[in-house]
This record gives sequence, structure tokens and C-alpha cells, in this order.
Amino acid sequence: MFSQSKVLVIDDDQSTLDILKFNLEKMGYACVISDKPKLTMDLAQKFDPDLFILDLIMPEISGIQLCHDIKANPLFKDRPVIFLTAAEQESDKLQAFESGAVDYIQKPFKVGELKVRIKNQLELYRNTKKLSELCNDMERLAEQRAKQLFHADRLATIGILAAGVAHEINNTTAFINGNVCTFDTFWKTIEPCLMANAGKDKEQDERLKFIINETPKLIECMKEGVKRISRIVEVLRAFYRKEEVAKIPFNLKKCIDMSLQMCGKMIRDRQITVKTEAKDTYVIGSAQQMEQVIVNLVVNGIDAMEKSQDPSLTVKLYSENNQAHVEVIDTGTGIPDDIIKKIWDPFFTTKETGKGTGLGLAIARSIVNDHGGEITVANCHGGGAKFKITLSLAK
Amino acid sequence: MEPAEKKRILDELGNIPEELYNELVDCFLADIPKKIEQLKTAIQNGNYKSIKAVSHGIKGVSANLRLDKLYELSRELELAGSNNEELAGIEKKFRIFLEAIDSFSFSWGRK
Repeated sequence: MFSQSKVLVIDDDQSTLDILKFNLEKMGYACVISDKPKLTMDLAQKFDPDLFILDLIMPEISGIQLCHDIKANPLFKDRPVIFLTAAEQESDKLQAFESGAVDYIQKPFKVGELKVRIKNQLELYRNTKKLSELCNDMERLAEQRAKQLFHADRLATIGILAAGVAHEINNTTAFINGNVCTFDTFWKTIEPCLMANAGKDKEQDERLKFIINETPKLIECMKEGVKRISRIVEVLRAFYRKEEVAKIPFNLKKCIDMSLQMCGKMIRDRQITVKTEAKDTYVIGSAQQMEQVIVNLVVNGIDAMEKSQDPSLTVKLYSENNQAHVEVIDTGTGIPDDIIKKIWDPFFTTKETGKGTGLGLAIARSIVNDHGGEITVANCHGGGAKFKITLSLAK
Repeated sequence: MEPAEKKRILDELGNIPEELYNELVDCFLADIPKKIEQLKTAIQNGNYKSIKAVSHGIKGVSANLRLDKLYELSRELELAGSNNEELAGIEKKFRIFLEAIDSFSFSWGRK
């Protein structure tokens, strides 16, 4: 619903004012009338009219002068001005339009026609205003999106770099791993030799004992470290690898475990309680891409709980009617009704500039759709949001 | 004024209440002696600008109130004023206008 339109009528003749006021108010407009043309600008400031109706020939100030004053005022220059006058010379009409008026109605006027003309001008004004607001919005949006694109581009570059770095680290890790394993077998030979040398110096014996005791643990630690590096690198590479949608059966439960592992640091840092209810469930497609989707939902959920007292994230996986369902439920702020439809739009984000690309959910939806599934969102009753992915079970 | 005619006028003015219309006509009639004085002086002095301005005002109100006869006559006076017509001719028009006013106020007085 629009707000009530406001009309200011200036005429030195009371009969015009009364007849107009009666009719305009009947049409549902707010109407202020005055027979003092000198007060026009003061009244405009107070009343903020959407439309002016002016008489042309008045003592003190002419309607033409008033129209010039209105058009010179930045606050009112866009408001339509209609002349309602008994002046009937061509030159009057011409002057009126030249001063910026949008319409010219001759007395004696027909009320029916007058009403329609006023209504049309108000509608035109409202639409023009809306258009210019939309135009401003679009400009702002374009600017915002340009920034986001730049950021997304940088992210993509980092992604490519990360894949390259991951490859390098993988190679280095491979030879560390090889050498650690070799050293492990060497140690089995070294250890008895060291013991053979014992018994000369008590202090040295103590140290030897310590070394013999600790070295196997050090080797195990190194092996574990190397394994961890390989795993992280593998996740990184998988995440950034661009692939056609594979058509391989995979276990959604593993995807969920992997995703939560990737978000492990965030979860620990923000002290989030994670509950999972998942059984082995197989679907067809790309495990890596589905991981990307789940990571996205998990990160969004965590971000939505930034100010939650007791942040808790629930991930459920179950099958029903030949379909697999993954639910990611947070206890955050939920999604306001006015934006819930927009969240799937590319570049739509509520995160501060630089934090979110606005691409996450758009990509998530396109991945799920590529898998022949669907992804939906709903707000939970007790606050928070629930994202749900539905995919066909592998046969 | 005939009831049928008045009804037509009220209708044309967007069904304004009859009391409002009566009030507006009363105001017009209360104001008219002053205007007539102004016109008389203007014609005597050959002040065309004033002839034009005063008759324009009368024209506007009679147009609004659908007093067609008065509208026509005041319109002629205004035109004569802006065309700088001969004063004798204007005075003649003015007299016809006065008669029309008299006859209207008489009929209006009886309502």
C-alpha cells in the first residue's frame, strides 16, 4: 500500500479551494489549501506535498512565478505542478508549461476530468520516483558486486595457488615420509649397538637409556605428523579440483565426517557443540563436491551463531522414501523473511564485505541440482535455520 | 435557481454538499458590490489593466460556480479589457453584466 498522496492547492479564490478540497479528500488524498500565494513555499516545507495545483493569475505573485520557485527548490523540483485557471490565452498556457508545469486545466473545469488528470500525474510522479530509487539501488548493487567479483577473483587465484602449493608440499612430504620410514628400519639396527656400548660411564648410560626410550616415540610422532600433512593437503586439493560431476557411489556419512574435520578448527575456536546422527548412506555423484556443499552449510551455520549463547550445530543424515536427507541445523539468528528467498542468488550475502563472497549457497544449490537433488531452507521454531539436502539413494 | 439546475451543478462539481455551494454563492454575492465598484472606477479612468484583472476574478468564480450567464459576460468584459476596446462599448457590456447580476441575486434571494 502506498501512503496517502498529498496535494497543495493555491488559489486566491475561495470557491476553487473549497470545491477542490472537497473532491480531493473524497478521492482519498490529503489536501491543504491556501488563498495566500506568498505562503506557498512555507506551506510546501511544512506539508511536503506530492503535487501542486496553482492558479495562474493572482495578486502579489503570479502562478508562473510560484512554479519557477517550486522548480528551483531542490526538495520540490520533481513534484508535478498543475495549473487550474480561468486564463485562456495561448501565451498564458505556453508560459505555464515553460515554467515547468505538467498540466493546464481550464476553468470552468469538469470535476471528473480534473480528478483523472490529478490521479494520472500523481501516479506518474510515484512511478518516476520508484524508478529513480530502483536506479539508485541498481547502481549501489553494481558497485557492491564489482567489489565482490574482485574478491571472488582473488579467492579463485588463491584457490589455484593453494592447489599448486598443495602439490609442492605433497612432494616434499613424500620424501620426508620415505626417510622417516627408512630411519625407522635403521633404528632397529642402531639400537642394539648403542646398548653394546653401555656400562663405561654412568652419566652417559642414563642419557643413552633416555634416547633409546624416546626415539621410537619421536619416529611415531614424525610419521603421524606426515600423515596429517598429507591428509590436509589431500583435502585442499580435492576442494579446489574442478571436475565433471563424477557418477560414483559414495558414502554421505564420510562426506559429513570429512567436512566437519575441515571445519574442526572453527568448531573448536568458537566452542560449538556438534551433534551428528548419521548412518552409512550411499548416493551417486561427486563426494568432493558434496563435501564442498556441506562445508559451506556448516561454515554458514557457525557464522550465524557468532553471537549465540550456546552455539550448537546438528548434522543429521537419514534415508526415507528411497532418498537420502542431510540436515544442517544451527541455533543462530535464523534468516529474516524478507531475504530468505534471496539467499540462493549469486553474490547475495549478509556477511560483511570481504568475509563472504555471496557465492557459497549459489554454488551449493547448483551442485545439488547437478546431482539431481534439491536443497531447501527453513527457519526453526526455537530460532536458527535448517538447511536440508535431498538426494536419490544409490541403487 | 431551479432545483433541477442546481442539482446538475452540484453533480458537475463532484456532488459537493448543497450547503457548501450555497455558502460559496453567498460569498460571491457578498463580494460582488466591491468588485462592481472597482470595475466602475476602472472604466471611468480607462484603466484597462484593472478592468481585465477584476473581471478575470469574477469570471473565475462564476466559472467555478457554473453561473454560466455571469461567466460569459465577465469573460467578455475581460476580453474587452485585454483588447483595449473602446470604453463606451465596455460600459455597455458592464451594464448588461450589472443587469444579469441583479437578476441573479434576485432569483438567488428566493432560492
